[in-house]
Amino acid sequence: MSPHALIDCDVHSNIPPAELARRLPARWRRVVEDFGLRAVKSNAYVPTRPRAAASRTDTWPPGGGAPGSDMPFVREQLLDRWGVDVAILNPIDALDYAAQVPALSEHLFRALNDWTREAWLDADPRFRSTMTVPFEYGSMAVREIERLASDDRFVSVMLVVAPREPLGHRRYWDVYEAAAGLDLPVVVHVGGIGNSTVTGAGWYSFYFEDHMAGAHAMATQLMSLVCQGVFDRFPTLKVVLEEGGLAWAPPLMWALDSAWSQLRHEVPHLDRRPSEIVREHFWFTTQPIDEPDDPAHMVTVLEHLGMHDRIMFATDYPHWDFDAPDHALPRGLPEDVRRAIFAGNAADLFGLTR
Amino acid sequence: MSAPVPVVDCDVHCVPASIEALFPYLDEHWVGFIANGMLGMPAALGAMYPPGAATSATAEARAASGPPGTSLDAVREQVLDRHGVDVAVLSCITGFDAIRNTYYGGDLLRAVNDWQAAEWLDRDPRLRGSIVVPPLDPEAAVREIRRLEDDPRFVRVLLPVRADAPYGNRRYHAIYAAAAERGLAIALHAWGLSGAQPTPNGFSEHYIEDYVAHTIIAQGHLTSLVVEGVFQRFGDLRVSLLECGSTWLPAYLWRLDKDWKGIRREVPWVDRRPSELLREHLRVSVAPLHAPADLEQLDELMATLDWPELLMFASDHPHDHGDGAARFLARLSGEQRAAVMGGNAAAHYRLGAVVGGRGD
Repeated sequence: MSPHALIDCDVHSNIPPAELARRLPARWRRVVEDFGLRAVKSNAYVPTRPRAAASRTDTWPPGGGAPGSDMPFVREQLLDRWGVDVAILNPIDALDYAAQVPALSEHLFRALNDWTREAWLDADPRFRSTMTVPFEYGSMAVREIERLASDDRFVSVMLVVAPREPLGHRRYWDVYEAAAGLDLPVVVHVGGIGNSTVTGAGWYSFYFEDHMAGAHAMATQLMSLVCQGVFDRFPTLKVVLEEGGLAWAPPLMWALDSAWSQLRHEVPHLDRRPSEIVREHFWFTTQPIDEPDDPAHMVTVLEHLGMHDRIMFATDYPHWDFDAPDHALPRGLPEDVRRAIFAGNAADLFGLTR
Repeated sequence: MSAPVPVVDCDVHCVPASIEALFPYLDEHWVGFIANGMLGMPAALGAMYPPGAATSATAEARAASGPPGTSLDAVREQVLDRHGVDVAVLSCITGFDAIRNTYYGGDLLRAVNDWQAAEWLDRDPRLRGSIVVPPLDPEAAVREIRRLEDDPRFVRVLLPVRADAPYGNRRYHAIYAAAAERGLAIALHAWGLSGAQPTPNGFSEHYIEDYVAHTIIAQGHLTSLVVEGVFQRFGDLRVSLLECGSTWLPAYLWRLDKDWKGIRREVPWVDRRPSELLREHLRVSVAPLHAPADLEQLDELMATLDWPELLMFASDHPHDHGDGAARFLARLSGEQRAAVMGGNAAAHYRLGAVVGGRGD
């Protein structure tokens, strides 16, 4: 039984440029100042978002800075306002850092984790964070995971939905080995650095399409992780899919099971139905919650998914598509399931028992 | 005694048994190249339908003479006669649209259309055709649509879902204008460019991933068609989605409507809920249909969407996608079944009064 009533699994902090700069070695500070961070992903895509920083207009701190940069303001606007017992940070800058050259990437992530520890974890006991790591470079990522391993306020290891290769690729297996070895879940968050578009069919025109495709990219990563044998090699690995929704998962599991029954000799490492592997290894966060006209259909989806103990509440503060705790979940969910989604499932997975 | 119910099969495959079968329809220039260069059917074809994959052909189709999908006799026996099909629409998937030399690929596709008319449409009045075009060269695609405009047996233009750009993109609008002018539907079909990554995150390692990825790629195209305003610009355009699954539709449409509520300021011309637009313009084939094994769950799934208005029957001969579609169809009421088996496709492709071939 969780001592908490509300755990928010996806809160975005945002490191102020000066806080980053002062934590970088002089050489890399100068590179960042003079050249900026580079985008591996084509910068031809300009998200014509209706909101700056994809954020709610009321999340810009009164004292200046970007949404998510001012800890006391987040504490007041999110934690106190909604009675959040535990908020797990996904530092937003991590989405771009992995695109940098290896040495810079390593310094950026280390600086970000140090800032997270000093400005957030040490400041309020309600904060936890994911470890942000240079996941494109396995040995460096493992080094950062080991550096932070003794601090149990870092509760997971962060990957992105659009890395350089599909997440089943062997270049990420060192990260999985380290995470599984420490029993840290890996969280896959929307965003990233991929060279590829998220449609599977070339570049799109609108932010609308990019936002829609978060779910598609997430579904594809689930498929990659399952089909490429990651769980055969790391049978205790836990993966959380964040900000991709979840209503797509039951039909994808039916499709995978159907395909597997006909094509399984191509993937001999899949020794049981893909849906069984999914139910063993995956967790989902709720935001952006799927919203059928009839909320009963969402209850049906959750039953078809059959993972009531694997769904965890998230707001995605400070972004415009924030899910408020009093609105997000569909009507008609049994009370014990609601409680588990709001806190119990995350408490179990991340060991938030105190 | 009930009135005969038309049966329309919206996805029957035909493919030339070899590239030489196209020689009578191909410019001598290319015939010389093919002979001298020992060029054959493109490697993309084998990547799409590996001969040894169980999904590529039913046992019965494998037993027919020639490679699966090459025999009109097999189509007659295994599809048309058996299911009492009044009209079957052919989908000729060759991989020629994946050829980056679009001069070569485009001419091959043109030959495929003439081959399709002569070897299939001329030989059985129940057959209708899909115009195959090079998506990489929209001008040539438009020329091809116009070239065939006097042959009403072609009822749609076929576009593969693995593409260089999503299908709402303006580069394709000339194709839609030409199709709309002639009352042709557009059909998005599984597979396509092997040079384009089949997943949103890069190239996959297994066939099974590519096979399932169509259920995901298709969704990006539908979003693109909606947000680029294709249905406002071409109010009469009808879009078929073939061999990309369908049971992802409820979750997809919920998300699409939700994002429209949140972000429609970016695309102000989308003046209605996207799910309404798609209900009006989109029809989806039943093959494959990925359904839960549990009957109660299947019924619950069926309650989440107005499926009988959206789905069109397809045998998808010679492919074998398991028993999902059959299990789903068995749960429909008589009226719903009639719509899915023929009524929806007859309206979608404007087949007119399809003569019932099965009444007694």
